[in-house]
Formats: sequence, structure tokens, C-alpha cells
Amino acid sequence: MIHRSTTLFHRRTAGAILAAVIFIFALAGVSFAHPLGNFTTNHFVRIRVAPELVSLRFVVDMAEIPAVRELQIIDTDGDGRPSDEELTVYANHAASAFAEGLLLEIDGKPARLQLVSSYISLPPGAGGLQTLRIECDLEVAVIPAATHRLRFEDTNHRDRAGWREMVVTPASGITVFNSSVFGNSITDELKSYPEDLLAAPVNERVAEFSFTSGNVPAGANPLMTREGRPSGQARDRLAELIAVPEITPGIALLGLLVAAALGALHALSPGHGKTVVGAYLVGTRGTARHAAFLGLTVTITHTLGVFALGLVTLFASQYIMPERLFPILGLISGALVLAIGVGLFVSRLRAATGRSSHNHTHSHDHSHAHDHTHVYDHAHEHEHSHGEHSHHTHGDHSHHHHDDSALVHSHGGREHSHLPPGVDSSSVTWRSLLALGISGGLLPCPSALVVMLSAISLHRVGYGLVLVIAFSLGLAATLTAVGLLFVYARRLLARPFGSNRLLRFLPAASALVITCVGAVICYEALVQAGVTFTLPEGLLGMFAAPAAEPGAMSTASVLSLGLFFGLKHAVEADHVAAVTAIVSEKKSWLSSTLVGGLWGVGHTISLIVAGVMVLVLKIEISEKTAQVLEMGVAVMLIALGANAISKLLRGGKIHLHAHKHGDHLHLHPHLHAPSEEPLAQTHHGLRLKARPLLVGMVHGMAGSAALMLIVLTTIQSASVGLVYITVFGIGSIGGMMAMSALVGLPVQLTAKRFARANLAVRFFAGAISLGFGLFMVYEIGFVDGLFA
Amino acid sequence: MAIKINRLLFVAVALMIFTSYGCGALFESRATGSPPVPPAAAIPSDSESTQAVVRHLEEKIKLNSEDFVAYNKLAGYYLQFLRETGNTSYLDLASRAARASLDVLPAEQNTGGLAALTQVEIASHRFADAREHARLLTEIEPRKSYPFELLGDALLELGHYEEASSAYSQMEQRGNGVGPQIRLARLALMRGQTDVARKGFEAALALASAQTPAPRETIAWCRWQLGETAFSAGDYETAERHYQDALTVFADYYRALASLGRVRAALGDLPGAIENYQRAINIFPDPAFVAALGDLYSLTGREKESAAEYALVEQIGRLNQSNGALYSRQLALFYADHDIKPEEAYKMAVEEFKARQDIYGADALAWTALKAGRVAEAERSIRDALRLGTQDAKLFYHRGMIARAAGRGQEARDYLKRALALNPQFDPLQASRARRALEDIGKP
Repeated sequence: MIHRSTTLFHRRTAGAILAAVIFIFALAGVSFAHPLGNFTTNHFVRIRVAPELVSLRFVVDMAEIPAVRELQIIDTDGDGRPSDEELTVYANHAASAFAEGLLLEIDGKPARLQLVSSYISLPPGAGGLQTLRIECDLEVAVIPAATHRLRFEDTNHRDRAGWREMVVTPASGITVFNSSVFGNSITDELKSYPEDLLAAPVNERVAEFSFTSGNVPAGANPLMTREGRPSGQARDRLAELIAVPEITPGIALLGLLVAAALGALHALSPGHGKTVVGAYLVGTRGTARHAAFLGLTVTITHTLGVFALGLVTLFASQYIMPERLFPILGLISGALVLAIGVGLFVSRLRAATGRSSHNHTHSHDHSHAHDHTHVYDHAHEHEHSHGEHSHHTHGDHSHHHHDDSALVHSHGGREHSHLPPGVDSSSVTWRSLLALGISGGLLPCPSALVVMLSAISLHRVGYGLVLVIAFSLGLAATLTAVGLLFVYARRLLARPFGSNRLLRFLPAASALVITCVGAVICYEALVQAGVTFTLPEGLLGMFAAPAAEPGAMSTASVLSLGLFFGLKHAVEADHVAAVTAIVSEKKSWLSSTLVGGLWGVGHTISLIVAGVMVLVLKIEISEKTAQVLEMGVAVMLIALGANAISKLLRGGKIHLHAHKHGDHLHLHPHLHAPSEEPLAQTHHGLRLKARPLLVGMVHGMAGSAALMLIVLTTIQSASVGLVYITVFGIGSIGGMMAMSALVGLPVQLTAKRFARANLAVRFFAGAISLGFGLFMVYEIGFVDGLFA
Repeated sequence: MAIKINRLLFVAVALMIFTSYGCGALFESRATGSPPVPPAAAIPSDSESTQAVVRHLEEKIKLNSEDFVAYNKLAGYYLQFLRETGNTSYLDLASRAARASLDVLPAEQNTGGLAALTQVEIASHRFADAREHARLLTEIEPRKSYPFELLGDALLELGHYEEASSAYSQMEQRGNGVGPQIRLARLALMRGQTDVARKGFEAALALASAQTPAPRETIAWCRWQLGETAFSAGDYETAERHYQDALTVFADYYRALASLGRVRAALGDLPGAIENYQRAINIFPDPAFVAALGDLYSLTGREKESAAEYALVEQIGRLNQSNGALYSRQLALFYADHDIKPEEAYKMAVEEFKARQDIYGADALAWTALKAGRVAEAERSIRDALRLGTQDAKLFYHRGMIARAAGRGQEARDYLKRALALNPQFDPLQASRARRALEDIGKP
């Protein structure tokens, strides 16, 4: 900081000009010191968001010198002292003037704030002078909708020095996320400024955040306090329980009940593995006993977790930041779930696809009496070998499927299960239940942590522990209840259908759900830990430094980054949706993988063309053009999805059979094996290369605008830019090949043996593409305003 | 959000490290001749990234209260904010940061902390302390030029011009750059070598403009200083151009705004002058600006507003006293200029002159002594104030008025003429008084 001395000289002036005066504040003896000295004009804004109303508290605190000037304006009759009437007139005038300078935008549209009330006071300041404080309340109605984006800017006293503080407070039922401002004030609305901190004054002039009455989107950043903790209402309510002045048995009991209720409610908030628990228990033959064990594990883990984290916070916060631990715990929790999910999926899929002898080796010594005719030229033994006979009238053995929720029945005295092994009761291993319970309770609820910490600071460790246990029990109760709900829901589901065909795939599907949830938890934990996933942000963040300091980042590292971002870019939602739709029609795994590769080639071709246009020919891509290109992607997704679905429904590949037994009418969709259609196969062979290539090119065009922006702002030379794009393209080819191979896996696995499941998978793939396309049309057309 | 902030911080820290190296190199680079004055261009404020860096450093200190490097860097940033805004709480923060740094590591091993403390002392007008610490700094780092810059600064403010001059020549031997250039220019201006001063400021401006990233406040300061040099020589058009250039670089630069107000007044545009002063005062209410605005209101017949501004000058003075400030020169001069509370003004000037004997302290003492009827002391002091041969119309005017009071008509006439010839509109109120006095003396 030595070089600062070179400019320090500026404080004083030369020649005829007097130096600016320096006010020196004695640290002691000043009763009320403004953060920046006696001449500041300080602002505070609290934005409160309720479902249908945004209200604003705007406080202006003028230090002695500006107050002197304002008081001269206030004193209209010139008697040297402001009368109440003069103050009121001034306050009304000032408040409406301030309202003009408070710019509020909701969802990009200006919203006009209405002044509700204003209040003026003259708190005593230093040197026998007065300060001036004006408080205004303003509000504006909001059209009820699930989620809003709000931007607020305070343009009053723009050139005046002073503290500028902004705070956002959600009303109950509202969640604020992705906020540029914090959830708490450090000055108590400019009534007490921090004095002993080594902290430069706050300078918040713009607030931007989203708020919703529904669910917060995945990956959103929660509203934080200035101390770096998530700001939440539940925490406050829970923390209040510990801070009561005196603990009587009645209060203690009430506290326990409230804590349990809060825990139960807390479990309903996103990210508590409800889905996992449900999916697990629904896929297994879980019983109430299992659910209870799960609950117990969650309670113990959560209590221990809170305790451990509390101790870390108290004694080791010098070395470990507790908030750093949260994402790590989240990652462990997610990894556990992921491992459980993958393990279950593999074993169940193996079971469901008949790798075990069970499915096909048990022979029926009875004949099937079909009351409908099939065209027997397709693979029938799988369809009818085992699952379906339950629909039909059988000769000599009795079925009691309709009241047999356990799917166990006997054929001529032999009892067997129709669920593959590893899915029936034997698969509810205590070990996996324990792992599941730990994953559910591992991530401590911040509010429970706050209770623990306040309990320790209030020397009420025992009570705090009991409260945390009650809270954990409530948490576990909800999770257990969800689990039980799924257990019974499955039984109810099993009864009317009686078909264990559906149920056979339920375990595998639920394992897939568990895997996905695990992946999402891991993803969120990584996002929290600071791993950036969205491309522009990540790139800009990585490149801003080299842009400022050329040469700091070598070309090689820029390019390796390009490869990484290319890989990552490939697996973005709209890309995966399109490729999924194509892959779902492919017959072999190799061709699925090829689809991904071709997509990547097409994508790269477009990017390079756009790169040449922008970097070499200096043609600008307008925002409108970019939007139109994006819209092209949306239309393409819809077309691909619709095509995939319509292909399923037409061409005789699928037909329905209706038949009756008892009171039940059954519809049998049948899918014919692809080998039946040699012509179509050739046809596909021709289109195999062109279509993914084209789709990739469309994607490339749409994505090029955003990519170019990044390349242009971060990479100076056109040649490096083009190389970067190429490397990025190679990364995207690799990424998409891996992705399409992965997507192709369930299709291929199901295609050969389970036409029906294959049908479902393909329909699902088509629907994803269609749905995502429609969503994009809505987003681009209406939210971003292409149609406006 | 947190992620974004972290990213920003990384970038900002990287930038900061870069900046530090860039400026460090400044001491080594040697000016080659006097390059032409570069054209003014707006320099975007880096306050957002700077603020992010400052927050990051503050967080670091919260985690590790012994991070003296962070303290030193913080002190530097707080001083930069102080220069940019005039907000003295930054001075307080800088002072606390510098002291905390030196508490962690003593000055002998912590020249950064000692340099920060010395700068804080200079900015707080504790020049005697600053001189001692700068001296210590020159002993610890005898080969660097910056300790001699600081030593010279402290000595200059204390009025020890010979010692200051030798400190600056030590500085010159050890390095060149923006810092040495502006110091030499400033000394030249005090010695009445206006052309040398102008060239020095131009050289400093060229050096500062060549830096990356461009130091916004330094460049604006150099341009403003060039304006001040031109104004003191009565070249109002050139002065106005420099002020406008300074404002192009740094739109809210309060010093340039106030000076622009003064030059508008000199050119006869009183409404324009008032507007610029109002803007400057909104940013930083320097009592000299407030008093000048009061004068302008008075000249345009807005007596009520004028009285309000004058009252504000007194109230700011009172606030400073209640806050324990030693520096009351501006209030003393305000009283003397407006013929109010002459005794009080004189006492204030005497008190301050005990602490530092610079030429403008001597001038304040002379001017207040005259108003308090102590003509003999006024004569002694004004000669003292002019001992360096400074070419300043205000000093000449004061000398002329004192000579008139002493009954030496010829000397009075000479100095009043010199004042008005050098800078005919040196002050909206006082210049016309000088003219009237000259007419009175002219009448037998």
C-alpha cells in the first residue's frame, strides 16, 4: 500500500487555494456518530413482500450539516425554529419527492409506489445540533402469481455521501431467493450504526430478488443474513422457544410441542428426501416397522448432526466455517442417496429383466384359456409367460390376486412371489435403511442449529438438546408418515390392477427416482459449495481475471476450460430433451451413441459458422435474432417429441386389445418387435445421420449468441476464439455421446424383452421433448416477450 | 448470490494484486522528458470492485485479526475513499486499520503499516507525528523514495521549507513517478515558479494517464491542480478547461466542481457559479465552499440564503470543535473576510500557528491580526507568509490591506495592483474590495 502515498498529497492543495478542512472525530464523547461523519445523508429501505402487496419502508437520516440546510427550508416563517405545521408540510412534500426517486420494477415492468404515510423527527445530534429523520411507508399491489422478479433502485440523493442499506423481508408464506440484498439490517433502520467494527459503510443502492408463494426452484440461492446464514422465519420461531425468560413446565411442554411441529413442517420443505423415502419404501415391500426404523435413524442422525455442528461452530469455527460444512454434508447425503439408488437400480433392473432364473424357469402346467386372439408372430413368451396369466381365467388353480396385496399366490400348492428377488421383503436390508435414514438426517436444519447455539449461550444446554430432539422427532415423523403413505399407496395401487407387471417395474423405476434425487442433492450441494454450473457465469467468472490481466491465464488453460464447458454444455436440458427423443427410437446402443456424436458435430458446425461471422466478419447477433433462434429450438423439440409419440401410435406398431374377465375390462397395448419392419429399418438407417446433425445445428445456432458474447468479452484474438469454439465443440460432442449412450441404455435394455416398458420409456422420452418444447415456447414467447 | 459474490471477490482480488504491482512499478519508472498533456476521457468508477475487495479484506480480518497485510491494504483503500469523497469516517477507519496492523507487527518489520499510519497522520493534520514516523520510515527503508515523499510532505505542512526541500531532493535521487513529480511541482508553486509547477503537474498527469488501470482520482487531481495553477495566474479560460477535463474523468469530483464554480464567478457567470458550488457542497460541505456560496448569494441579492450559508459555516466549525479538531483555519479566515468575531478568529489563528508555521498559517495569522487591530503583528506575519516569493493574489491583497492600515500608501498600492494584475477576480467578494481600496488610496 506504499504507492498510496503518491496520491495522498492530494489532500492538500497548492498556491492560493486552501486545503479542504478535515473533520476529525474523537472516538469517544460523541453520542451519536453518523457512519460517514456529520455531513452524510443516509438511507434505509426495507422491502416487504406479501402475496399481493409489496410494501416499502424508506428512511432518510440526515446528519447535522444537511439537517441544518433542510431546517432552513422547513422554517418557512423564518422564526428560527420549525413548528409542527412546518414540519408536516415539509415531510409530506419530501416524502412525495422521495417516492418519485424510488424506482420499482416487478417482472420487468415499472410499478408505481403509493405513499401511505410519512413521519418526521429531529433527533439531537452532535454539537447541540439537530439531525433529521424522515420515515415513509409506501406500497404497491402485485398481481398474484407464483413467482415474481423484483428490482428496486433508490435514486434519491444520488450524489450525496452516506450509508445506503437495503433489506428484504418476506411475509409468511413467501420465500425470497436469488437476492442481491440481505435479510437483516445492521443499523436497526439507521438508529444505531456499528461502531467498533472495522467495516466500510454499506452502499446498497439497488435490490434485486425473486419471490414466490410456491416452491423455490432447484439451485436457487436462499435469502441470507449479513452474517452469512440463511435467513428464515422458521429459525426465528424456533429460536424464540429457547429465549424465553423463564422455563416453567408448561412453557417447556409447549416448547417441545412447537419444536416437534416445526420439525414436522420443516421436513415438508424441499430437499428432505421425502421422495427418496417414498420411492424406497414403495419399491420395496416396506412395512411400518421399516418406516419406524427409518424415522428413528433420521432423528438420531439429525440430533447428532446438530450437536456436532453446534460444537464445531462454537469451538472450531476458527478453522472450519460451519457454513462451508453445509454443502459438504449435503454432498455426502446426496452421494449416499445416489449410491443407494444406483445399487438398487442395478439389482432391480437385473431382476426385472430376468437375469435371475426365477422369471422364466418356473413352468406352468396349466393351459391359458385366452378369450381373445393374438397374432402370434411376435415375441409372446415374455409378454404372457408370467405376469399376464393373472388376467385370464385359469383352469385348475385359484388366484386371489384381488385381495392379495403381497403379490404372493400359489399355483397348485406351490407358493412363489411374482416380484423379482431383491425387490421383495428380503431387499429391505437394515443396512440400506440405515444409510437412507442417515442421508435424511445428515444435513442439519439451520434453525435447529441456531436453537442449539442459543441454548449453549443461554446455559440451557439440556433444554436446547431436548428441543432439538423434539424437532428431529417431528422431522422424522413427517418422513415416516410419507414413507407409510407410500407403503399403503402401493398396496392400494396393487389391488385394483392386480397386475404385477406394473409392479415389477415399480421397484426399478423407484430406484431410478432415488438415483435422480441423489444426483439433484449432489448438484445443489456443489452449487452451494461454489461450483458454478451455468455456463455464462462460470465462464465470465473464470475469464474476468485474464481479461483484466492479459497473460495471467495461458491459452492452454483457456482451451482446457473450453473442453470442460463444452462437456457440460452438452448436457443442458434442451439438448438432452431433443437427443432423448431421437435416441428413444434407436434400436442399438451403438446407434444411440452415434446420435449423440452427430448431434455434437452439427452443434459444432453451427458454432464455428457463427464464430466466423462474429469474430472474423464482425456481424452482430441481435437479441431478437437470438430469441428467434431459441424459438426454433422450441419448435424443433415439439416436432421431435410429437414425431416420437406419433410413431408409437401409428404404423401398426402398437395396437390395443380389449378383453374382459369378471367385471374388469382390460386394455392390452401391444408393441411389435422392430424386426417386423425391415422397410422402416432401412428408412431409419437413412435418416440416422441427417436428423441428429440437423438438430445439433439448430441448437448450435440458438446457443451461438450467448457463447459469442462470452468469447468476445473474454478472449481478445479471433483465432484463439475460434480455437476455443472448436475445443468447446469437441467437448460437447464427447459430452453428448456419453449422454445419449446413457439415455439409450434404458431404451435398449427394455426394447428386447419388455415391449411394454420400452413403449413407456419411448413415450416418456417423446413427452419430455414435447413438454420442454412447449415450456420453451412459453418462456421465450411470453416471459421474455418475443410475442409481446 | 453467494457464489456470484465469491467470484467477484476472486476477480477483484486478482485485480487488486495486479493494481498493487502496477503502482509499485511506478516508483521504478523514470519520466522521460515532459510528454504532452493527454486528452481527458471518462474513467469508469471502480468503486464496485474496490468495495468488493474492501469487504473481502474486512471479512479476512474478522477471521484472522492478525492479518497485518489485510490491515495495510485496507488502510490504503480507506485513504483512497477519503481522497475521493472527503468522508472523514474513512480517515477514522484508515487510522484504526493502520494501528491494528502495527499492533500485530512492529514498525521495523511492517513498513506498510508505518507508511499507512504516517499518511493517516498527515491527513489528520498531525504533522509533527507524521514527521517522526516518516523519519523512522526513511531509516528503515533508506533506499526507497516514498519515505522521503512522506517526510517532505510533513515538513512542508509544518512550514520547514528548507528541510522539506532537502527531503524532496533525497526523494528525487531515489525514484521518479507521479508522486515525486507532484511534490516538486507543488514546492515550485509555493516558490512562485508557476511555469515549473505547470510542467511538473503536466508530467505527473502524463505518467498517471499511462498507468493501467488508470487511477481516476489521481488523474482528476492533476487536471484540477493544473486548473488551479492557471487560475492563480488569472488564465480563467485555461483553468475552466482543466476543471472540465477533471470532471470528464471523474464526474463527482467535488474539488473540481467547487473550482469550476469559482472560475465561473470570475468570468461573471454567477448563476453558473452558484450551481457548481451547490453540487460540490452536496458531495462534500467544505466550509470554504459554503462560505463562497454565501458570498455569491450575497452578491446576487439573495441575502436570506446567504445568511443561511454563513450560519452553516459557523455550525460546521462548531461541530469540528466539538469533535476535537485542531484545524480551524478556514473558520478564522471566514470570520476575518466578513469582519465578524475578530478576536475569536485571531485566537484561532494564533493557536494553529503554534502547531505549524507554514506560509498560509502565517497569512491567516496576519489577516486575522489586522482585523483584530494588531497591525504590527499583521505586518510581521504577512512578510513571513510571503517569504518564499509565492505568486498568490490573495497574499498580495492581504499585504496591501495591511500596509494600508499601517499607513504605508505606496506599499499598499503596489501590492493591491500586483494582486489585481496577477488574478483580477481572485475572489468574488475580496477582489472588488481590493479594487475599492486601491481607489481609496489613489484619492489623496
